[in-house]
Amino acid sequence: MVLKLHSMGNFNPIPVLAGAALFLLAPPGLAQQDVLILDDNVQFDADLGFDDSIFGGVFEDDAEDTSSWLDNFTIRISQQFFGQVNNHSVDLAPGFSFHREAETESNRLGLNVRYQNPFAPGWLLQASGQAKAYWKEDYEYGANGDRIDTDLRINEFFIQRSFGQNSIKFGRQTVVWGETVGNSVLDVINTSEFRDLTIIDIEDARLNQWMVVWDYFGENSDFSTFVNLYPDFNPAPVRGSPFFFEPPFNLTDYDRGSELLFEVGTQWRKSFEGSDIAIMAAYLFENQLRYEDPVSRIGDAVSKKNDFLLLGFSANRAIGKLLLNFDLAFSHNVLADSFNFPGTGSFVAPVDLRKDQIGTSFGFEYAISNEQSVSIGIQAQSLLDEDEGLLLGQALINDGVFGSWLVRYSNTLMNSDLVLSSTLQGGVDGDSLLALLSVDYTLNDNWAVNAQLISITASSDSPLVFLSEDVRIGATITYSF
Amino acid sequence: MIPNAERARKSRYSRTISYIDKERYVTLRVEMFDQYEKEVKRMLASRVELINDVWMARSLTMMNLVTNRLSNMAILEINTGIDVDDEFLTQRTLTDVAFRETELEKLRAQID
Repeated sequence: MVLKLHSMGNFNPIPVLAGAALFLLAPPGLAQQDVLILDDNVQFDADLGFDDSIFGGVFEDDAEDTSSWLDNFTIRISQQFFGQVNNHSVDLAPGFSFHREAETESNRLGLNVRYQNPFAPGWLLQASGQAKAYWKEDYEYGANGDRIDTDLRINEFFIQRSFGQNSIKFGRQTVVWGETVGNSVLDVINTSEFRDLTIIDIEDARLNQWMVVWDYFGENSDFSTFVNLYPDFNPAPVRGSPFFFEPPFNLTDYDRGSELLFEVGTQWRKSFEGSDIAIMAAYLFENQLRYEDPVSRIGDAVSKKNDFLLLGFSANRAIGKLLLNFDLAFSHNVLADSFNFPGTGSFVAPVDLRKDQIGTSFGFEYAISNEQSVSIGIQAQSLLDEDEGLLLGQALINDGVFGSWLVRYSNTLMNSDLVLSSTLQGGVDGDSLLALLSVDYTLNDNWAVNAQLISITASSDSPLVFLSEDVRIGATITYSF
Repeated sequence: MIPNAERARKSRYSRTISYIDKERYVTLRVEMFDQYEKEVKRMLASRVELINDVWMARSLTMMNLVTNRLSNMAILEINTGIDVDDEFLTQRTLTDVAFRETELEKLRAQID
């Protein structure tokens, strides 16, 4: 079916319909107040036709084949400005504070390209990448010795073959197991990078990795298995970024030498009417490296990896406009003091203990109407037998129950041209709060603008304390085709 | 058409009036009323044509009488009697792009 959709702005219905007899059917005011009950055999003499010539000669146009090899590409060019605007002081401890100046953090031009080509029956090639140029006043410009810096990155890059009930994908890709939006305890397969406050959603921060993924679509249930051929770790913060802190020793990439590292996992899932369940098991490396001081006290920090086993269960249930989500994760042999705050390294006196951890994330998504939706997610984790093995006076960073909560609301207005959204995110212990207000306005099929306001409040116990009372505003203009 | 109690909870319309061509079984006009009995939307059909022995309205115009906006859906080409595998109408079609494109190609082959 070939469809063409026209949408017209404000119109005066009277002139539009003046030539049609439609309004003659109902006496004025009748439909507004009185219920009109018609006999089954009622006959209308009036012409029910509608003159659609106001939409132009769409039916007279010859259908032309306008397909092109460029159809496989989606290209987006965007210019972004972002900065911290609140001059204030941060009190780290009694008598010790530092001043935060208002400053521009991001002034960058980005090019995002996505390519998807089902080049033969059962085959698909998909790739996406980005190029960025960092202009004056961007923190990457400063980190590059006050010179324009550029950055190229391949995100997705995989080839897929689907045959019979099987599908195999090879290449850079992501594997998402969690049901809970934003902060699932099961979404620990891919690494992530929160380089700055322009990205606060995990969905945008995930990094693709080299994997083979085999999906089997059975009659009643499905299996999905992955092998990660080159496990990566969360990148260290970029110098100059809001998350960067000057460490006593340089944080370097993991030196894997000749070690053969791999991750493997499998998921079984089954769908019921209005519900899905899944169970999964995986052998993984913790995405966050733990850094230790070099023994000689000279040189780079020593990065330490840790492998662990993950067992998980997930479920969702749709009830009308409500979608309930639930995730459960049991992790065996995680490092007890892995400090997994996004984008930062763990740089504390290490407690070299491996422990079991249990975590859950749950929440719901609710469609208030076609235009409005709200979602809530809560993540909570706890180490089992957390005090066991600790020396006198030692304490874990993550003691007790730790985790985060997330609330999102969005409202679509003006026939989807205007989208207002807000996000509130905080720790379950109540020591931090991040509030985001965002406005997206679509000017036309190509141009769109976005404005954001982000405010952070954190207590001295929170790793976000360095960003406390920061207020960031930003704007992005995007051209896509 | 007045929705039953369960449907009324989900619908934004208190009732709708449909004008049906009883010879051709084509909906020509639908009036949609809100809970205050005010007509808020109106759908108008035109270009009713016999396509593969099925009467169809190729032009559907939806008028929003509250915002005074209207949209038109023009059906430029439509095919009937296509064989669709049950397998195509599964969740796999949503996630497996290579599979979806293969199945869509089978459908396209039937109309070329």
